[in-house]
Amino acid sequence: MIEVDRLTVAYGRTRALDDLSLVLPPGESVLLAGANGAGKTTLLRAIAGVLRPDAGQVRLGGHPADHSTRRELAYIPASISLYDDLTVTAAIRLQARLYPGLVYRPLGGIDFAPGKRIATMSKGEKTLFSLSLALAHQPAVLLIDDVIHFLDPHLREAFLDAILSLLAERRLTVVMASQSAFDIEGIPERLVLLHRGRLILSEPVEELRGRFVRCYVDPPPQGVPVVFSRAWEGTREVYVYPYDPARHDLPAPEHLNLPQILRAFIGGEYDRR
Amino acid sequence: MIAVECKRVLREGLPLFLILAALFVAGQVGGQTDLLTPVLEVFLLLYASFSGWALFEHERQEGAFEYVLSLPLSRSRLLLLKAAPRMLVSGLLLVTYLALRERFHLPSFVAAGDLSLAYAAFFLLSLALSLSLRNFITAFFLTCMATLGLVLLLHRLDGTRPYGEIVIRLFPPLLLVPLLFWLRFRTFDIRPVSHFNRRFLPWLAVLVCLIAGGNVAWSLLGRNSWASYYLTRQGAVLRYRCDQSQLLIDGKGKRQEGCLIALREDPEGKTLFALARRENPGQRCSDLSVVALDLATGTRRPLYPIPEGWTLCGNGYLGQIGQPRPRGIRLLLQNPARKQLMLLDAGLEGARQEYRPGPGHLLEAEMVLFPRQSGGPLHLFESANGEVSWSQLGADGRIVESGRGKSYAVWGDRILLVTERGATLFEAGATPATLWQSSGDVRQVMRRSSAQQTVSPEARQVILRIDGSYRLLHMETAALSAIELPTAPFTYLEGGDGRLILVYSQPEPFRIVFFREGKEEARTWRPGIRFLVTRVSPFGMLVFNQKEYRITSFTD
Repeated sequence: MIEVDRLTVAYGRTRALDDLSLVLPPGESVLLAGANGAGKTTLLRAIAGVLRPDAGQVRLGGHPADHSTRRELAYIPASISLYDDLTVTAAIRLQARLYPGLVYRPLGGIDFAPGKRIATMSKGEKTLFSLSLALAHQPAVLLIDDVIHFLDPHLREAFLDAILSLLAERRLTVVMASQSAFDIEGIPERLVLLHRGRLILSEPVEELRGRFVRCYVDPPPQGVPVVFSRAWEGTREVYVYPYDPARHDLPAPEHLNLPQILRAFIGGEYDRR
Repeated sequence: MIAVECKRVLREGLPLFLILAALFVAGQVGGQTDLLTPVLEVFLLLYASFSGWALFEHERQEGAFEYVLSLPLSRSRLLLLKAAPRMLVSGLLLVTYLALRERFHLPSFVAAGDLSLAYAAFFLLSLALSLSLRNFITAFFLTCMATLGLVLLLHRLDGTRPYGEIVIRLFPPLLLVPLLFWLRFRTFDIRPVSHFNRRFLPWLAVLVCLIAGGNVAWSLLGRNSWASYYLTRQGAVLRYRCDQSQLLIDGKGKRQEGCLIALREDPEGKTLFALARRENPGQRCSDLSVVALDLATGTRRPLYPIPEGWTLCGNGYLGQIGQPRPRGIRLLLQNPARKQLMLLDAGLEGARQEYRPGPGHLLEAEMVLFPRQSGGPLHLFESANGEVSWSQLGADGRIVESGRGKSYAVWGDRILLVTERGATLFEAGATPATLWQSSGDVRQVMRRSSAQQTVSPEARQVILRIDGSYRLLHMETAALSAIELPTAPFTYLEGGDGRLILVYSQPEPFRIVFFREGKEEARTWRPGIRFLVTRVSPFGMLVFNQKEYRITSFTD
């Protein structure tokens, strides 16, 4: 379980996370979403321990996060941070010294030549290698920043297949940061939405889809919680959350998929700005 | 991680190692060991600084900070794993250099301990700046300012303290800087480095200011030690500082008012002629009087009060070479304002002065030779930029240059001038006569009192290195003889009993070799104190620091 308790992180005078509290149950795959600057990367970094919070605490499995709890973590930052001067073999050897019992297994069926230098890999290859390396010590938690867009369709498929097979194999907590959910729709079980360092939403995806609807009505009815609305071909597109059929009388409410929900939430945040 | 880091450090340092090796070989082959050592030592400090500063350079260049910070390592352990290989390789390099310096008897300009301290300070200070400064030149400049800059400032504030003592005082507290860095690094994270700097640099500035302030206060308030020592040929010691002096005869001290600088002993060794000086802060010292110290009783007798505006040519006992008559001394004084020179003959029976027109500016002669023929010209010697200038001062006050060279030696009326093309021994006079000449690659083995200073060029026997072989030139007879030496000695002199005494400063601490009639005897001497400067006289050898001194007799 990942517990984030009143976490505050600032970059100078700007608060990237502002008194944020969140609990992520073990074995759940989570999509961490939000507009640019929402605090997704900062939250991942704080959980991964590469960023020290100014206030608050992160707990992993009930223990305050420190270097010993980082053994249970694997973190893939958006910058795909690795030592570029190392070869594949040297990088695995270095990782093996820090994580005893490490078993490296190339993911996605793409094996790299042992003598290949990381510096000579493409960004996509590096991402896949980084994931293979990160998972080699069998972490309980996998944190992945927004790296999908580095990958070509083939590597993206390999990457997502690898994550799906891992989720099927063992009880792994996956937290993925992304601004869209087009490629990963089948993966997240929970959506965590941030806005300007604050938590907007943390809800299982299935429940969310049941309570999020779109309808076309102008003007939107009074008393309906509208997340986002916009003019659309002579009428108005209205996104409603949380939708309660017993209380809200909407014309032809339509349930949406995760990318559409996400787009509506982020669009709504921009409207409120 | 240590193995990976070791490889990186070796790869980074390889070009510098090769440069060091090339310089070392070039210096050895070319015989330029006098220049070699300072060059190597500057390179070493540069390397130490670079090695410390480059601690996180790979992470910075390759964007690997997030990777290393996410590893299951505490920040302290990470710092240790990163820094240990660098310390190891840098330490190894220093030890190798010091071992080579000792093995090949390279002239040591900085004591091994001082060099090690400076090396450690450069490494650790640059290491502390490794995250804050992305530019090595800036980091190196600041490191130089915090180390060498402060040393120079403190020496400027109190010139009586030698550099070695300042280094010992200043550098250990500077090692608190990496400690502060470690404390701050424990909370280091991936945020922009300005975040780290806001928490580190103000404290760093406070710490450096405290250290510098403490040392400045120490320099200004703690000036109570002896500035220098003189050892007579009978074993008496004259030591001085700005406000007082002390004459030690058989270990018993007799206080003398004012600063007394030894000029010369009379041939019988009964009297020491000295110059009484007054310190003028920030200006040249004022010469007050010439005095005679009785080396049996320690009594002081004024011989000649130096008038206002007059000053001595030459630098104390280093500069007054010549033929003092028994119970007297000859000195050259100058008055730049009045454009006058004065040839003073001061003796126990009285003083006689002879005025001559002067050059109208301060004569910067470091040594004045008074030849036997009192009517002949005086010989002035001046060293600047590694070159010696030999001039003659005529009765009309005109100065005519007689020659230039790399080094020189003087004995009686004999002047040895070593140039790029060879060496020539002259007999002083209005027209110097050549007594001996050698062409080719001739180098004079300099006699030293410390790594930086040489002693008086006055010597009856001079060791030369002619085309790679050591030779002994007798200045009186102009006879050249072979001498088998493993390497150039630290210093040498002719003892009172005619023995040639050679002193080697390495291996640690002193090896004293006595030559007489083809026989060689040797012994070692461990002074047991950390000394800064040495003095030798036919009596023996004295080493001193600001607080204490030790003497060994050559007759023991």
